[in-house]
Amino acid sequence: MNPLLQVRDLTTTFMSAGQTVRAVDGVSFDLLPGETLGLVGESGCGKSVTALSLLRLLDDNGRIGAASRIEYDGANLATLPEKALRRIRGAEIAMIFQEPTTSLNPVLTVGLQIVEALRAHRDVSRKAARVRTIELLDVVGIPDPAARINAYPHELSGGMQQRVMIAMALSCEPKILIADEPTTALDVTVQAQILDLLAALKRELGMAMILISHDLGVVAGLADRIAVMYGGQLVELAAAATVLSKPQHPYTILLLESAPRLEQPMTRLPVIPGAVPKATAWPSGCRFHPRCPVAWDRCEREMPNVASAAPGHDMRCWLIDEPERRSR
Amino acid sequence: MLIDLLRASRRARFGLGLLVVLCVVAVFAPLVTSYDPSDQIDLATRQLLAPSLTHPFGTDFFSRDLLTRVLHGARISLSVAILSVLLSVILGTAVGLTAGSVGGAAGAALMRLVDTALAVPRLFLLIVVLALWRDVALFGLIAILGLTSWFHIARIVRAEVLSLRAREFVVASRALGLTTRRIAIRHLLPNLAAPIIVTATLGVGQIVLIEAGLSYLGIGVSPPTPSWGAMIAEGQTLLATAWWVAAFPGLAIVLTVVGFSLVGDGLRDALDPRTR
Repeated sequence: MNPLLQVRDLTTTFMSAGQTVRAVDGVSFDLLPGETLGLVGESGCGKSVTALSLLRLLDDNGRIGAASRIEYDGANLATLPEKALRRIRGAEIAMIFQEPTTSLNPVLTVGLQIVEALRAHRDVSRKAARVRTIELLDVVGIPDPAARINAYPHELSGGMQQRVMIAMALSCEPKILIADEPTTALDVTVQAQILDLLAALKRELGMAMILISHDLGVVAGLADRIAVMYGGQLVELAAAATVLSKPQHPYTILLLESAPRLEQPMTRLPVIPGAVPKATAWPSGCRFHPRCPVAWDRCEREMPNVASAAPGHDMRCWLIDEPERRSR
Repeated sequence: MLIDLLRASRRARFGLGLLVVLCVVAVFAPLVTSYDPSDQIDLATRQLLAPSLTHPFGTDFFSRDLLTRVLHGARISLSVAILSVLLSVILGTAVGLTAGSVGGAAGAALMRLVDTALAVPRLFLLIVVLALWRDVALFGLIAILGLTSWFHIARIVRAEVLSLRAREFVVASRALGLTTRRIAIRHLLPNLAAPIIVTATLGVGQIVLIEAGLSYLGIGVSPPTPSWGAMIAEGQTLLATAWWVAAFPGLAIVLTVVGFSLVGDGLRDALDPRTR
């Protein structure tokens, strides 16, 4: 199957106080039609910047590297003229964000905001757009949509607001939905509802989805494949079941161990020692080596490349070369 | 809604009361007094009469009823001020919104032009422009006042746009494929209402003052159209003998400017809690 989206060597830098910050450094992955790719990692590992880079929604001080390629439908989104890119945003690739409260315009009714999204790409009359908006609100599970269309964002709960955001994103039936921490700001029960909704809509519309979360639990239930990011790089990418049950990269292993589990008795959760390094000063060699339990001198000197650990299982770690080191 | 917000502050309430009274008497001026503002009633017997029941504000050198002139002056002053502020708000918002939305070098260049214009003292600019004209019609005056007072509005609007552009809902609108222009008009403009209303309200008071100043200097509203500034100028030489000729239009200016300032400050406090 041909990939829908091919990301190759995505590098995103920011100019900050005279320094160049490499927030995303050489990320490559494919997104297949209809699949859900989970993107996980700690805060500051570059997940959101990766997502924003895909649609070039970075702030003015953000730059995508010249060698980066974001291939979609025969075009490179990294270099596509703004006008052509605008026709892809929302229509072909849509995005929802972490904070529904701040992602909606506080002074416009939700109905009007969805109508605007529709009319950005479709030549529909105001009336038809309104009818379609009520339909969309119904699809995302908002009760009494004909009345809610006139509600202002502050009159809705966080879960309802996120449903509105989803309705906006789906208004033009995109082929890819990028969901950047779509449930992080919500209550746990609402979180489950929104994830169910996303899963159902994805099946119905046959969309592909990039689901970004710091929470492996969120990604585990939905993703077909999982990509783990650390320090602005992809460190492991494999089928979801493989990543969750047979992870290879030391970081992924530690990340899984530090997640709370229901079936285990309450003990102190293991933590990964140290903190995520700052993007202004990545460590030399492998970026995880200062926190890695198996790191040896080579890890400090040389940065490993992404290589295949098994068919369909990629990893950025020297353990591929020297697997015997793991047993120690 | 704005009125409700204003009720919260006693000073804003007072200012609003002043403005309401002022507007009502300005609109209904012909019903309040029976004289004509430029009617020289009786040059022989009614020149410079002190305030009395027949002439509550007295009469001026040409035996015109001063109450009538002050009330009709309110019509002129307020309509000149409100119309020119309207013009400046439209221009300032358009330029500020464009500069802020477009961003980059073009936006910066536009703002440097605005800065240059701001560096010229407004009153001198007006004096120079008006001196080139002779007998400026009322609409000419409105146009000139409006065209010279939008610069700082453009700055305020641009600053507000820049901070709005960093807000997530603007990024979300871009992610949906909305054009820059559409985002500016649909999403940014409604969020700019609060600062624009505050600036405009304070601006009206300022323009009243500037118009009075220009008329006082004889280059604003031309006689015999009643203007507070021109009336003060007429009364200046008579201060020792007939104080009322200058005092009542002066009082009118003070009350108007105070009214707009109080309401403007009240609106700012109500709409932007940070300044409280």
